[in-house]
Amino acid sequence: MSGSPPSDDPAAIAYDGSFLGFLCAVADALNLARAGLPPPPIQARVAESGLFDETVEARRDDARAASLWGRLSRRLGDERMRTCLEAFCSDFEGRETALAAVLARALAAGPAAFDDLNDPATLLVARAARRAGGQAHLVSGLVRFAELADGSWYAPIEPDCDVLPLVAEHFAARYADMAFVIHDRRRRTALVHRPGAPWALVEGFELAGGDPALAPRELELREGWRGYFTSVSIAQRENRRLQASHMPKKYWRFLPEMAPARAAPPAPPADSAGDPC
Amino acid sequence: MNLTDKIGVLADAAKYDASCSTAGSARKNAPGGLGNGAVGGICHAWAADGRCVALLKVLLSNACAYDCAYCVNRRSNDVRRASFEPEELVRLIVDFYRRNYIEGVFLSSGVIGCPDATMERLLAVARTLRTRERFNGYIHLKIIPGASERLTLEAARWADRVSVNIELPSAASLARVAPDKKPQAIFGPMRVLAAASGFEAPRLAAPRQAPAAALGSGGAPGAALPERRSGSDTPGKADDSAAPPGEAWPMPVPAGKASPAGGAARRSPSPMMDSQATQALPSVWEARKTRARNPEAPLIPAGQTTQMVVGASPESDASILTLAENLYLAYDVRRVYYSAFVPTGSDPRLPAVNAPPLAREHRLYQADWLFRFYGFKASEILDPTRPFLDSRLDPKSDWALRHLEFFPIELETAEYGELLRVPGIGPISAAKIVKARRQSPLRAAALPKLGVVARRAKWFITVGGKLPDTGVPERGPWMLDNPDALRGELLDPAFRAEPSAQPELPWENAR
Ligand code: SF4
Repeated sequence: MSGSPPSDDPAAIAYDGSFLGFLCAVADALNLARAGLPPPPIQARVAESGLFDETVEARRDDARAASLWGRLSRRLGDERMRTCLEAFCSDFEGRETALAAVLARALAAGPAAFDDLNDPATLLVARAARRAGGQAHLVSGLVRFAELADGSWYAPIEPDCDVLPLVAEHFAARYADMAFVIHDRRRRTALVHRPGAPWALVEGFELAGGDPALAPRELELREGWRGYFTSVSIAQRENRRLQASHMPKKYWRFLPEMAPARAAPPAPPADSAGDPC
Repeated sequence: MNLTDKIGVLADAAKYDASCSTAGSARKNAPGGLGNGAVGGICHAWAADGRCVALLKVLLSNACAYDCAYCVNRRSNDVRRASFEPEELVRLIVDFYRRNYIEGVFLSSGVIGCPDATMERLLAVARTLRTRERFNGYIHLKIIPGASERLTLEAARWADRVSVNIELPSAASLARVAPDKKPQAIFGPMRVLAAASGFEAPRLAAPRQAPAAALGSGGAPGAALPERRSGSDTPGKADDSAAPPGEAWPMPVPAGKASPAGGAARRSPSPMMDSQATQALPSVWEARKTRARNPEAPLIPAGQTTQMVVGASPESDASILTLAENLYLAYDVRRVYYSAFVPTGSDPRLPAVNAPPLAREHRLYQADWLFRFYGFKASEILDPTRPFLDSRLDPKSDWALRHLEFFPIELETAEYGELLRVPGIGPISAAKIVKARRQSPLRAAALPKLGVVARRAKWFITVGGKLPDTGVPERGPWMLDNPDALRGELLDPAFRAEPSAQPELPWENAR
């Protein structure tokens, strides 16, 4: 799964980085497997790589992807498909190839193939899914919306895994009446939601015109929340290690409650220095 | 007082309530509405003491007409008082919720005037949220002790979860420490709530079993255990298990004998400490298997909970756990919280303690997990000859050390309930073992991948008939004949009090 394949190995399959593109690559891999050929590695295409001599490109075809997804869902059930999506969204090296291998096995042997953690590919998929799923769960609690002057809502995140596809449904259902953006600043993607419309994932998202202006009560409410957060801790039970183990420090930068006391609370996006407060 | 100050005072006054879970409700959002329930619960932050912050937990007012010795808000205590206008609090909740700071709200209040008047004010907030604001986020309402049945039922209508705190583990302690609260003011609402959510307490047909036969009997997973008396380390275990007088609450409901809160049984052993009776009752885990949970139920989908303060009164861990077990069985309580007594002043009715008994609280929570997820009964964990949990050892390891004849367990063939008895194997890893062994033979080296804490489990298991490598060759592969050495291996490193020291007992996502 790692290292460049020697020339007599089967070519790798490259895809465009999207989940739908990946499904098309899986469809290709399944075809090869059916023809008795060893399944080739699958990897997101990286620009200008010498490896591409060896690599077949899976053309993205959304209808084909949807049809494979439907077939897999019927055979494996929604829970397993969620596992697949989670594993795909993780940051584990080799997850695509492992997923394709597990899906091939599961199509042949049934969904229980996902339980055989003695198999390295299955174990990798399970671990990857747990990592991304866990991070998505954490992020669903740690997103902090700021109300903007125009009445819409904005929250920046920088997770290790690509969690937006995993949390989109949750936020759209919960804040159905809000126009909001959750901005993954690491990947420059965003979950965009408007009341009454389906949510959408946007690539290459930038905030137009720098820092958005905040709604009038925003800073007062952040102060109130900070005050609340400080008060609820029981001094005699202080345990910073436990706190940091639940809520790793890398998440703190967008949390108003973790901002140093008396400093201006971080405005979205957090690298803006000059909040008028 | 500005908003931040007021939040500070009223959160400070509410924070000693340990309940913070937001699990168990799948309330849906409605068109044009705000919020929903997340059935697994979501934490939104972790406070400096490491506790999950999921709810805006505040009092409507911290002025109180009562004088409970353990409580910062008691009328004889000199603290800053504040209160929210209901409208002001509604707005704050919605403002915090929209920012994704919280899952919802936990509302309580000091007693202003009479219990019903106070309850009315809490209900006004909940009602406004649910109707005018179309708020479908999580609402936890505290029932003010003594609130009428009508108001208790209205609370059940708006709330996802309600709680009535017992606070003290015996009637005697309650009378001494919280003189304004009467037992029926606590157990009355609990019974109303249990009935409102469709629960019927099991009636006990108590066959008088011989003690030897009673020990270790009962349904799964107890039934999966060998029906063997434990060794000589538990002399007279099942025979003289009457409670120390004056310790427990009178809790006759599962036996269907009398109304709860009789209040007068102080000098007589509680019927529930009787070994015959406890043996005939199912374990909490077993009782709950047949109790369907509906996270979309119209009334309190997340059920009712309660809390006991630990260390403010003299009751033993055995009394506390027996009471907790009965609350699970008799009132269908979802969670019993144990709150280490934090000294908040020098009330002469309370013991002088320097620090909250956190280690004790931690062990009680572990024992509580053994009820709810492992099929243990209180009488298996403690008995009158051993009234307190061992602070250096988790209660499951302690049980295993007293039942070495039950081991080794063969992982390829053991039933789920038997797997749960192995130190180092929890519900998640047991389920994974059951799944994985259907696919291919288990390998000892692969157990950590299944979530087994091999360091603890290795002494107690065989895998495919073989003993796992214990890494302690000079002591032989087994120490099952040497409980003292085994105990040394199982002791918690540094006897840490933090829940994180126990990976097999996950703290959050607790239903
Ligand atoms: S009734 Fe007792 S426990 Fe409740 S707020 Fe008043 S003094 Fe505190």
